[in-house]
Amino acid sequence: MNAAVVAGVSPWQRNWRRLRANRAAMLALAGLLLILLLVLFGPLFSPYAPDQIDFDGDWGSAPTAVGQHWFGTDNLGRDLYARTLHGGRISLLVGLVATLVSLGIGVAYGAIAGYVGGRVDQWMMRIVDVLYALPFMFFVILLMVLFGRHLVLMFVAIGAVNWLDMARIVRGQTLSLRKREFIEAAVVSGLNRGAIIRRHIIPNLLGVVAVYATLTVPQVILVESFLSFLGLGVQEPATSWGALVNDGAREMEATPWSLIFPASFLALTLLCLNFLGDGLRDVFDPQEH
Amino acid sequence: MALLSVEDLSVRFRTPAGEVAAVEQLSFELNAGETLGIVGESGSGKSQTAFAIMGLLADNATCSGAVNFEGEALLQLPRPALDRIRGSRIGMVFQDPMTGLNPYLTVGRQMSEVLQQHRGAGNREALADSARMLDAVQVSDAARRLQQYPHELSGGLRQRVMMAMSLLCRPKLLIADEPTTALDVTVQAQLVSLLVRLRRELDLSLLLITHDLGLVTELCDRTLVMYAGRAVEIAMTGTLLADPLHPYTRALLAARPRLDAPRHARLDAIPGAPPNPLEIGPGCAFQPRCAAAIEGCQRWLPDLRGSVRRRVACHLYRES
Repeated sequence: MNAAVVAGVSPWQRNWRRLRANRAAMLALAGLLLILLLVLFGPLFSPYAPDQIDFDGDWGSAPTAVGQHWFGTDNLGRDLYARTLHGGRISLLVGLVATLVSLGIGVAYGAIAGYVGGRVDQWMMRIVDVLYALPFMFFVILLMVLFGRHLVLMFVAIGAVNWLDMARIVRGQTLSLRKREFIEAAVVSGLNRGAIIRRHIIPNLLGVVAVYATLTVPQVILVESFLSFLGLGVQEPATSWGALVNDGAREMEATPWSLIFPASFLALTLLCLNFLGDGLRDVFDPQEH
Repeated sequence: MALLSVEDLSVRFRTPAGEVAAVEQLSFELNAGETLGIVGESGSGKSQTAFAIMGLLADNATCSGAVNFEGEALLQLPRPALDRIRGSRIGMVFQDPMTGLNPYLTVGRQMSEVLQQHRGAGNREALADSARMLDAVQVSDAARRLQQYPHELSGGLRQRVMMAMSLLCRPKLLIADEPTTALDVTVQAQLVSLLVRLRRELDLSLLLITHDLGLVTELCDRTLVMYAGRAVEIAMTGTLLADPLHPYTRALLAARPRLDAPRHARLDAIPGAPPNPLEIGPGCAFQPRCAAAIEGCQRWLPDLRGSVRRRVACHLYRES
């Protein structure tokens, strides 16, 4: 009861409190932070660069607890610890940036279509349908051929396809929001459409968007892995978890560690993101508003 | 001159089942300083009338006729021009205080937003003004309320906040769409006395949409009774209550629970149900439920006739 007297507990703060009570989600969040820290600062502790071949050791040597190669080396004699963490940087970066790209476009597009409605909505959503129908891989290959292989291009390519789902989800949410009375109250207090979308629609969408974003990141990481597998993603000597898993899978009988380490990082990250998404979904349960 | 005049307003909705008329050829005037009540059952078109005036109709609605407010033809105004009037010269309060405020914004931000929009007021100035208006609607501890979020306020407080928000720019006209329906009785009473005071202090004209005849008695100078989208009777409130002419008005008044009625007496409910708007015949819409219906009622639509003081749409009424 006393909490209500303390001025101003925002819905965000309330949601954060509720998320903190969810043990699985908090564990997942801690796991993600740990992985992020490891990926960012872990390479500092390794004497090897990710693209450096260790001519002194055996190629494809097993992990050694006390030696220099904690995760072993791959079939070219490169340190897997350094490669896994460097690959993690790329994978996480792709996951994050591509998700942000799809978030930015999707939220704006969906909110405008849903709020303005009518013919504008019809046209905007038909455009989405048309883009859905384009074969994604063909589109990416075309981009790569036209502009050359580049990491930034991959962000754009993946983000540009993923926003379609986001736009549809956001539009649906907006349609149900626009009939809420506080939106009508904003309309009758003379706010224009832009202000209503920015200040009233979008903040109320962020819950759904946050949930969907945690599900998009793993999806994007997997797409990147797939592109790398096709040779369209990250190029040697740079690497990503997807590329490492692909390499490791080829050698898994001779050098299982070259599959196990990157694969566990990838799997753990995806697991954590999914648990976090689950926790967020509970927090933002619509019945709460 | 009338502050607000509505002429021949019709609102129709395109639905899969056909075109539904929510409001039909409604005309009324609201003079400066006056309070007009619009009463009717659910679905009588009273809320849609308010929505049409404010430009809030749903996408599938079409509306014809004319709404004139201080020389501006509201129905024909483009959105930017309408935005300059809404919130600054006309305020509106909604029925449900629980959903009328954005859960993600503090009360202060939601209120100051209105002032920033219409007056280009600075943040601090807008907050100070908002606090003053909260004081005026008798919200205690206004400075702290401004920092709170809607979920931290009670229903009655939220309704006051919404009222303060609609009055921030000192509008001439306040449209209140069932402002007390969602509140419990004691809070209703406070809100009514608040409305009476604000009306005097801010020189407000009030368009009150309600189904609560008690509210009409206490607040309204004149009352318009609607049935199935049409005005059936409009009169000074005192006259209407003392001597209702339309059978529907009479039935409505008779159906009120009374404290002086014998215990266990049954309410005189109106027999039948409000008509399906798709199935209204050419005659008077109330005729199927009307005890006094005569032969012509089913065939001809009665005009709204009478003097300035009172007009009624019924075949039984003879101008004397």
